[in-house]
Amino acid sequence: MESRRVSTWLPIWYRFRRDRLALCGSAFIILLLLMAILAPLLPIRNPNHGYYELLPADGRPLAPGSAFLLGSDAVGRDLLSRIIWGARVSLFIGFVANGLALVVGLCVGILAGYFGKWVDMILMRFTDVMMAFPVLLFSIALIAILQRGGNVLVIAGVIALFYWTAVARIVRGQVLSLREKEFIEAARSGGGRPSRILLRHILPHLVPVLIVYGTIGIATSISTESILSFIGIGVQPPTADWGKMVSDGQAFLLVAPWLVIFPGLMILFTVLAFNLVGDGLRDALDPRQRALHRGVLGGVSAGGQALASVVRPGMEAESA
Amino acid sequence: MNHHRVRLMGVTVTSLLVLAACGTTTATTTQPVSGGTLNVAFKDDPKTLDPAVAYDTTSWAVERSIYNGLLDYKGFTTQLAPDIAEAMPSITNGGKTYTFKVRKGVKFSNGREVTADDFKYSWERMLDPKTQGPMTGGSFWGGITGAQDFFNAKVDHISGIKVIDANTLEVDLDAPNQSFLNIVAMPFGFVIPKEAVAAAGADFSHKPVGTGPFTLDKWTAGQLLVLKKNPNYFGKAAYLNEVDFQIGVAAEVGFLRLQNGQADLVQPDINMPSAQYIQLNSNPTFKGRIVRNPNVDIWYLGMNVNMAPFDNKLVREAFNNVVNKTNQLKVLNGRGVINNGIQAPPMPGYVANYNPLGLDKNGQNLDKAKALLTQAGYGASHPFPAQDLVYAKANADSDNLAASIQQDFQAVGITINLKGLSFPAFLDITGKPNSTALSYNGWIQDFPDPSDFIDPILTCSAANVTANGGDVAFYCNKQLDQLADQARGDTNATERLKLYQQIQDIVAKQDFPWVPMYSTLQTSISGTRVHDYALHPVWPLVLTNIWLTGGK
Repeated sequence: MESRRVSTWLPIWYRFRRDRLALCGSAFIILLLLMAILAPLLPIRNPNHGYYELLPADGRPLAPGSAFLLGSDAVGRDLLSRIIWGARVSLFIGFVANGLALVVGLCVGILAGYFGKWVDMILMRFTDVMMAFPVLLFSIALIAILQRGGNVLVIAGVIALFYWTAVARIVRGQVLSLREKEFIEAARSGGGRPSRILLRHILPHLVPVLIVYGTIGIATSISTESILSFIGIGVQPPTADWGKMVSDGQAFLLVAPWLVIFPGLMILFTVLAFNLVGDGLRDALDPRQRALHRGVLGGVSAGGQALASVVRPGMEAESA
Repeated sequence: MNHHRVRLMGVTVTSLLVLAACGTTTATTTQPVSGGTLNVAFKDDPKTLDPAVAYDTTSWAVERSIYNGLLDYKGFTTQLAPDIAEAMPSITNGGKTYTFKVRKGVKFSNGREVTADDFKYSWERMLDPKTQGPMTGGSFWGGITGAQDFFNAKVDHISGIKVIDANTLEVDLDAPNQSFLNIVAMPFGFVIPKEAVAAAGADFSHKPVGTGPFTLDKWTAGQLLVLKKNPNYFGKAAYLNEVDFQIGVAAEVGFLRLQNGQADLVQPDINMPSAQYIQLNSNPTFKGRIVRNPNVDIWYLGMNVNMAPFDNKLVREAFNNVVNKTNQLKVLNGRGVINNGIQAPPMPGYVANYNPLGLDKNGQNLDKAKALLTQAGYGASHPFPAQDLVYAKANADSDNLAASIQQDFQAVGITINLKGLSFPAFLDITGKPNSTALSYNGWIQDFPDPSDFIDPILTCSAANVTANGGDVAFYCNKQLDQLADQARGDTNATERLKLYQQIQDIVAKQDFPWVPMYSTLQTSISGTRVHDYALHPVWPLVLTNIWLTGGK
């Protein structure tokens, strides 16, 4: 049993670690996670406390230097502390939103794909309807209706509400092709109940797709959260949040560019890191696809097609 | 005294401009030149240009150039002067009857001459509930004899507004009111022609006809509003041929346009945001172009005296010891003064360094605050409930000011949650009874008389409303009302100011419906080709003095 597991996952790791960019991305994410988790223990200033006494008389934000390593904002708060504490909000929302989207998308996709017919019809039309919503506009409306601007769980929920659809589509496609495979046929004729077939035979084959999408989806969720906070309906002041920091800092762009540059770079690197890791995982989990990537013009296999489609909806969601 | 101060500032500003002009250009004259188009960047459209309805600074900034009333302020001072009136009115009948002589030869931009009838028409239209303006139903004009019957639709005309002949208008009041002439000078008192209102139907706001130095040429909502010089203007003609209000320009963009020469003024009716102030104040070209004037405003936390926990006076007094007012002003780059009272500089009745609670230089006394909270029954076993601070989000400064308050209350163990709203939403929720316990408010003068800082925001009649109230604390004290009534009619200026100081003591030393915090210094800036731009102590924007280098 043990040896079998090793033989499944080790080659993937060997392939993954050849991808330098993905490794860098992983390292960055691990560092970020550590920073976020350990933030309360780090020897840094309170992110929400304004050190007014350190500001000059005209209230000008302090440039990076000895008083504040990365500078201060207009109310004398330490930018370094706020970036570190902001990682908690961004990562929390990224993981929770994407976790919810994965669970819902998986359930809908698996049911639609396996049972087909009217179940498929109803679930997929509903998915289509959800996909047709302009994400930002409806997030704004929903958060306004719920009157819960500052609540991170509500924000995560709203993001998940729109992003489970992409997962549902991919999962359904996978299940449709798996359903016709001989081993499923065999399990079915052996008298296996649908629940057992779904859990024991189909679900394990979906794991690679879920891992890849799960990683890239976090990037999408984090950037969406930043946008929501930037336009003022995400995390509420004074909670440190990268999107909100960029939004607050933009007024001071000509006086204190560091207020926008540092949190902006954090959003950029974090989203990039999750995307790189997702790409690396996709290549590692499906070597055939990687071969295709390397410039062979030949035909695309069924499996390759399914995995290739993993990325596309993610991109769509990002640009939405 | 206070007029003198304002005029002095005007002189300082002008001479600075002249110096700047001499330094930067070679062929500049200090003689004003006519001609050219001034570009003004605005974030939003004026809500309306109907003088009976408009009650915000953006609308007033434009309206001021289209219309006139009987009275105005002399130059850039707070001293009343005749405008369409021939002279200041004669006041008889113990201060209850005002007789105005309407100047001959004043023409509307449609060419017709203004008569006393036009004032009667304009004022009745403004007070008519059908017009749905803010002055309907009382407020400033409610003291005119017969106005209440008119509001209640019992009569068709207000008996107290009488046309004696084509050039004589008589106004009777129920009781003497020392600020009535200031009220007459408000934009609500502007004169408009009946036939133009009839022709425009419901759309007078877009087809305004007045007597002012400019007329509306074009208004495309969200894009552009154009004023052209009025050739029929009865006063001294403006230097500018045209004023283009570029609409939909956010402050950050507006100030960049100003630096590029694409805009000459940016939202002159509101204070420069902190970020832009810091930037331009350290830019050698623009530093000297910033003009400053007391804003005549008071910023305060309103505590709803009908809602827990603020129904307890000890709590309200405790809150008066907590806010670090120095930090508030630091967010605003020090543009203002700490104010522990209710009147603002340079309003008559303002007391500099007023400090009835003996607070420290930051306006705090945290030990006292803690003691008062304990006395009110709060402590470890009964913690103070978390409060929402409702505030209007104008720009980054609003969030920063609110965050500073949050930090101050943390120091005495009170959690404040910040609730920033759009300005209309803010006005709506804070003006309704029992809706908002704690809010961050500002009050800016309508006219330079101390009654304007009491009657609309601290009296029982202002509290006894169902919506759109100005008394956000819903504070009502019969004793204060009595003093306010007495002061309104008092003809002895010294006695009158004493009464207003008594009122200030009741509010800031005895009842504590507010935490008074500070009064601001208005700052504004003009582009490099603009001359003689100055801030008016009452009006949000005056265009008639402005001229452009070379008249282009």
